[in-house]
Amino acid sequence: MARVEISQLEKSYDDVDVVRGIDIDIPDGEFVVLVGPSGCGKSTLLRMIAGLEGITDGEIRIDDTVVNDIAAKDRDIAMVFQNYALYPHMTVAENMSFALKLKGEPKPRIDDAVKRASAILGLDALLQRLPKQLSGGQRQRVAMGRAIVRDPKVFLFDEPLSNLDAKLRVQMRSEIKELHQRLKTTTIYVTHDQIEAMTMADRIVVMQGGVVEQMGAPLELYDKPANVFVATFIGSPSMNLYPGTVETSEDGLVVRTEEGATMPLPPDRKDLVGSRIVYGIRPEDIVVGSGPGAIARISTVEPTGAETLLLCKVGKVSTVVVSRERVTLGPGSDIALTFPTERLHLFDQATGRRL
Amino acid sequence: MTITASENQATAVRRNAKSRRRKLKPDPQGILIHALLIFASAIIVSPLLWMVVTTMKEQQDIFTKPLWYIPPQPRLFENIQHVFNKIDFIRYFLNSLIVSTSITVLDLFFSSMCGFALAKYRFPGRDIVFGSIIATMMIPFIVILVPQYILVRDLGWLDSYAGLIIPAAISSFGIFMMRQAFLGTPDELLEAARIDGASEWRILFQIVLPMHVPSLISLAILRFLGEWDSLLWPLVVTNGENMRTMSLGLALLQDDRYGTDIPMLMTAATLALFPIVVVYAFLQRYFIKSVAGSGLKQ
Repeated sequence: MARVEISQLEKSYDDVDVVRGIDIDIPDGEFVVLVGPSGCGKSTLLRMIAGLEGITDGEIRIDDTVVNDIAAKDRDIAMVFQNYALYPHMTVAENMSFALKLKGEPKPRIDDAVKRASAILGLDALLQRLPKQLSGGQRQRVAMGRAIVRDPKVFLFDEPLSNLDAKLRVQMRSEIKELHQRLKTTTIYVTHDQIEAMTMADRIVVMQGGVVEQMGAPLELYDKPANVFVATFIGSPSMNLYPGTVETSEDGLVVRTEEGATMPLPPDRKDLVGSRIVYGIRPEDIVVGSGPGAIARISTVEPTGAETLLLCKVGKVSTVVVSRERVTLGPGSDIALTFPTERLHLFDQATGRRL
Repeated sequence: MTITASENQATAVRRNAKSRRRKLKPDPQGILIHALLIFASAIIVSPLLWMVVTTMKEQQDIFTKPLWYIPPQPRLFENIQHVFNKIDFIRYFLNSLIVSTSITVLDLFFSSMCGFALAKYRFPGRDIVFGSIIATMMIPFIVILVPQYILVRDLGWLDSYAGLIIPAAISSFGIFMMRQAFLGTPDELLEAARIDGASEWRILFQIVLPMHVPSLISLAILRFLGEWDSLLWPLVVTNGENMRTMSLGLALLQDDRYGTDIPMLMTAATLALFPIVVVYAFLQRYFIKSVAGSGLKQ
């Protein structure tokens, strides 16, 4: 187990800056998820930590040792890849024991380590099989087993569940989390799936364009997104955003959207009058059909079983609403929507920052 | 309307019978294609068959008897004896075996290393190096024959195994073939091995090469066959009896002055063909797999 400190990390390819000024301090035993859209630099950052990619500037420390110039094999890390990267001509046991054999560990110790890891991951019956004889989930487990046997200081996961089907992904998600709770090894996990990030992480690092947009506990990011990007990236379906100007009307403080609709604001935000802001509310925070509110016309109803997604128009503004109740109304029906002011998220229109 | 199980079965039986009838219907296109294939196969195989049949004949049978005549008392052993009396067959055979095997092993080794570097490492000028290697494939051997001879002569390798083996120990075709094969190896596999602590040598020999056995075997077959058949370079670079290869030996059996003993020549050729047939028979499974798989994403 180890602490990982990343300071002022930079990575450029010729003139293109891929990662800029990254500062992350990961305490011993923490499960950190790097999340962001494709091309945001999260995998490059992970590969730099692994030692598979050079560093342009900055510093990476693992347990107080600067590892910038230390080879991948000497960093005492283990990595699980998206495509598993199992050696196709080696059996499961040989795949798992390869690193220890190269280290020159005695055979009894190698056998013990493989046995222990295979017991943890339920691979005992598969040890003599070749990777091609395994299912996707089993291969992923072997890839994790290969990481576990090394008993590394840090586990690195690079989108390990992307190749699995939806059901298996959910299962493997909880298996990885359980594994972390059991081993307590510092883990850095890269994904583009915000659900994976929310469900697995102790702390999420949201990245975009090579920089960290926000870092924090999953619910902290969900409840208090630092900017418009994080607000839209975290949470599914995405937060509803309405750019507009803050005004005082007979109904109190409101935001008048560019399409002409008015949205209520809490009375204590008089400081914002005249400001151009982005008014945000999560689909699940909008209350359907209780008390006075904006009238919306339903355009699409998407029942998922546990909840129903209503795609509506408030005036000309598109709005997504999540209702926990069974909705019997169909497209074209009108419903009343209430926007609880205590659940609002307000952002500066120019900078995108939270107000 | 309800359909009962028996009705369903009856329909299925009718459908099967219909499809069987369809299969039995003559397919003119298929017949034409197969006829062409059989004809082409006959053209390729008949000289080889004639060569084997001729090993049983006497010299006068060649001109007086039909082409495919097999004598009632085959003279195979007499012809073999003639070959062994006329040339130092064992010596030539061993020379060919040593030269072809050495070239094959060395080419597999060097081509794998070059192909791996060209496929999996990024370094300045990589594409220029690769382009230059490919360009050398366009140069006919006859063009470099004299410069290569002068080089080998200056190195003192004339009439030696070194002169026969070293100039052919690496081939641009081998590099090209192995590079193309290695391109398909996922980078993550190499990275996983690096994290596991493997050196670049170990990655190549313990991770990458075992994944490309069919390509290695294909290259081995092509190189071995090519070198076994090679005539021009051994002819130029060897003088003495001791360094002659099988192809040269066969050439020596041709007698311009008194006429070539054709059954003897065909017997020697059949014997010389033997290792090639053995090598191919053992490895053809991999060869076909590699050639068939070369254009497919596995």
